[in-house]
Amino acid sequence: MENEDFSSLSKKKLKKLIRETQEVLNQLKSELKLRKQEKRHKEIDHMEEHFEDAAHNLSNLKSFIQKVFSEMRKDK
Amino acid sequence: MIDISNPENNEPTQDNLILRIFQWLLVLFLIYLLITAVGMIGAGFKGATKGQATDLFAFATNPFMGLIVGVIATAMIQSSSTVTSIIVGLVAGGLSVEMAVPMIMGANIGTTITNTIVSFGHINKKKEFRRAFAAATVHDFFNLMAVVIFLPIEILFHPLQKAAGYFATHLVGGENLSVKGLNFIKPITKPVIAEFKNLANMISEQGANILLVVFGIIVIFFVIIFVGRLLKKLMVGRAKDIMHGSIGRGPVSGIVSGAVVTVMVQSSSTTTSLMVPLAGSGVFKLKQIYPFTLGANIGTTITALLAATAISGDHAVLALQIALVHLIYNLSAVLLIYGVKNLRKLPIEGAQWLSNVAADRKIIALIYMVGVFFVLPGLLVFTYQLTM
Repeated sequence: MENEDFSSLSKKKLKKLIRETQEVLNQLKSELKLRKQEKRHKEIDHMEEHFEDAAHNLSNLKSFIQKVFSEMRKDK
Repeated sequence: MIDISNPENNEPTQDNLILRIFQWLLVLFLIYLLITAVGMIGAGFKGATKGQATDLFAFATNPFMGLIVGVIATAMIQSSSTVTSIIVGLVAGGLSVEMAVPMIMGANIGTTITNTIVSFGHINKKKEFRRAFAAATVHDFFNLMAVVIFLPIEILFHPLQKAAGYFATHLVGGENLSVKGLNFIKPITKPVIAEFKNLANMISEQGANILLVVFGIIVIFFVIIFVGRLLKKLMVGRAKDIMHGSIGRGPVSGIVSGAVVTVMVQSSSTTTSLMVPLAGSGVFKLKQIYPFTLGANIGTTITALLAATAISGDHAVLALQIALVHLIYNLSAVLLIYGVKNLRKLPIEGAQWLSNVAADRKIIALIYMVGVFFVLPGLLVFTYQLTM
């Protein structure tokens, strides 16, 4: 696309091309936004699991400390 | 127990309906216990200090000590609702509002430890951990910034205390100084407080008042845990709807949703912890998580306000005043820090920087948590004790 030569195109055609490209771009952006939002909705659907995970935070701390120390031992 | 939070179980069967009614009645009973426990702390503290509560908390005349007490106490029990309810009870028992304000600010900082620990659960995946840790620490940076801005102003001019005092006097009735429209609270809590007082007297006559305070603290501690668990079950569906509804909308919607979800589950750490996996998965950006976290700060103030309804008599205004300080402080912090573009980005930048460092060297995350919530406050207390 970047190597295409637009010099032969008329001003009117160029404007039309820009308009069409802009439209496609907007559609692509909307599609991307929609997909991101769908992903977010799906993630929120797992809220029960997240509530559950949050309740076990002390076991998180224990495994985190173990991991930190094992990494430190490896580094030595 | 049937999990009524499961949509498949949400059919309006008679069993589910009965269970749901029972669970809501249990929530009401637990809130009643919370209010009663705050009354117990107030009565016990008043009796124990014989009007000299301020002398007992002489160390907290230094506002930084009050702040540290709030940070450490909340970080240890991982519940700002518990600590702020206890503070309301202490104010009702004679602790000065001026001394209690930094403690409330400290509780705001202390409560952020929970979501930091939750983010540690993502340690096995570097990128995920980086995002999760940033989502957790953005709350820390925001609350630290709020204290850095508001505490010196409060020490010098007492704007929070004055504003809360103004609203409290307008909300509390005239002669008997009980919260307008809530005069029924005392008659229903008084018999239970009297029973606990009798029990405390039977155990030790001399230390009865202290025991009453201890009973109150224990009851609040367990009530907050159980009510939180119950509300999570009952409200998860509604919370989901609110979160779904806020997607694709602006940050104000995020703040409001965060506040509403927190009121529903009666715990800011639950809401902020919920944000951690959402950010960790990469589906939600830090910028989108941030407003929810701020809403949690506002929503959590409902517990202290609820606790304040327990108090009647001379100190009703003061109990409501400290609860309103919590609300006004968090509202002002959101308005100022999130409202001003240059200030708004600082917690995000701080959290991103720290999470980048911690993702490379995990020990930094551990040092940060232990340092900010325990070692630094502990050292400050120790230094203060040495110099006094």
